[in-house]
Order: sequence, then C-alpha cells, then structure tokens
Amino acid sequence: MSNESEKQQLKSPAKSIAGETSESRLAGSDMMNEQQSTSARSATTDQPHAGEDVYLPLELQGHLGRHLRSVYRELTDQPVPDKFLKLLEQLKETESPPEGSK
Amino acid sequence: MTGSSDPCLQKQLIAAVPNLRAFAISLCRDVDKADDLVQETLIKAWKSLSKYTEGTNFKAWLFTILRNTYFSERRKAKREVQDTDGELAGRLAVHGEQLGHMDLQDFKKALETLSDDQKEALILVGAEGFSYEEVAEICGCAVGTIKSRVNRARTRLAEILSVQGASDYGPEFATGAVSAMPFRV
Repeated sequence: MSNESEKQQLKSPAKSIAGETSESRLAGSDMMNEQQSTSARSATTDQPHAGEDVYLPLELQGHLGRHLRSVYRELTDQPVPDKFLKLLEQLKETESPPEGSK
Repeated sequence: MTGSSDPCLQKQLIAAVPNLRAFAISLCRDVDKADDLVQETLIKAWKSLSKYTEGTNFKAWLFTILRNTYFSERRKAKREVQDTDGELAGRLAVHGEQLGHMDLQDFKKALETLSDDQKEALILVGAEGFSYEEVAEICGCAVGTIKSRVNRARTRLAEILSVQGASDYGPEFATGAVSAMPFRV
C-alpha cells in the first residue's frame, strides 16, 4: 500500500495545492481544487499516519457506524422547537414566493 | 410549478427539520447557532422551492442549502478554524490520552477531533445515510473526495479509539494492526 501512495506522490500533478492556505480551501475553492486532483490529494493533504489507502475491516467499520448513528440519533431525537413549526406556518400563510425569487 | 404550494414538499420540509437540526448542531457545535442556521435554511428553502428539481433527493437539496448557508456565514464571520495538520495532531494527542473504553462519550470526543471535512462526510454518509454521490453533490466536490474523507475519518476514529480501547475489538485491531489490513469498501 505504501508503494501505491509513493507512486501517487511521484506522479502528483497538483503539488501546488499543498501550498495553499487552509483559509482559501475553506473559502470554497477547495471544491474545484479537489475535483481536479482527487488522485493527488493523499500526497498533499493527508497526514502521514492517515494514509488514504488504509481501509478498515468491515467489522470495525460497522462498529464505528453503530456508534455514530447512536450519537447522531441523540440529536435527531430532540424535539423540534416550536419556533420552526411556527415559522413554517408563517411562510405558508404568506405563501407564494414570487416565481424565480431568490 | 409553484413549489411552495406543493403540500408534499411542505410536508417533506417539516419532516426534514430534525435531521437538518442535527446536522446543523454537528456543524456549529452550538445549539443556538444551529437553530439560527436551520431557520435561515428553512426560509431560503421555502423561497426557492420552485427551483427544486422534482425527482431529485429533496433532503439532499435541503442539506445543500444548509451547508452553503453555514459556510457563507462562516466566511462572512471570518471564523475559519485553521485546520492545519499540526493543530489537529495536537488536539488528537490530548484526546487520545483522555479516551479510555469505547463508549458513546468517548466516541463523541473522538468525533470532535476529526477535521470538519471528515466529520461532515462521515455524518452525511454514515448517519444520514446519503450515498457518496449525494454527499458529493451536497458538498460540491468529487465522489472520490468524499470516499477518501469518509475513509480517513473512520481510520482516524479507529486510531483514536483503539489507543486504550483496542480490547473492544480484540488484539488484532490494536493501533497499527488496523492499518495493515487491506479491506476495501
């Protein structure tokens, strides 16, 4: 596996994004950059110990997935604050955003 | 079609609120901010219902709006957290020591050590159940990018949680051994 990532690193055409600031990546430009250089990303943005070619055993993935869903369910199970339902009611009453409005 | 008068979409909009809110909380890490974000998302979604393309995933469409709203607000507020490797590694070290047995609290802490990109991708795929393709749409990036973010998120979690909790999986899953296993999904 390490060979594979070395190869990727060698043929990486997009070394330049490694030099970009996090800020510009967060500012939304990362989408384009990453699209252009998906194959080069492991060589540029990954930490050395978290190689892209490492895949976890399915059993462990399942284990993590169950925990993730439990944690997330605590959030989705929270009662929806009334204000959202009221808001939607209000929106419904005002109805009809003009066609094509932003 | 006047989207806003479509009762079916209205119902779906209401039904999606708990999920939008959960995702917002995990993005903002703050319930009040998350509620503001959801509110803004609902208003925007309502106003642009006519732009929703029927037949596409409505929930994914809503998540896209929420996410875009979040990031444009964040840009405005200039509150970007620099997600440099060093900083992340620092946070990792602290959390790694604090983690013991793998329970939900530990898992939550571990989740918070992920980069925003990774956490978001993992939640959308693993908890919300979106396909990689849908998440790529939501996040505006390539499918391969999402796959690798999810994969790195899982690997990272396993690394963190196996610091002291390796016995939960058996010895073969202890740190190090995990990364030697070539399973692919």
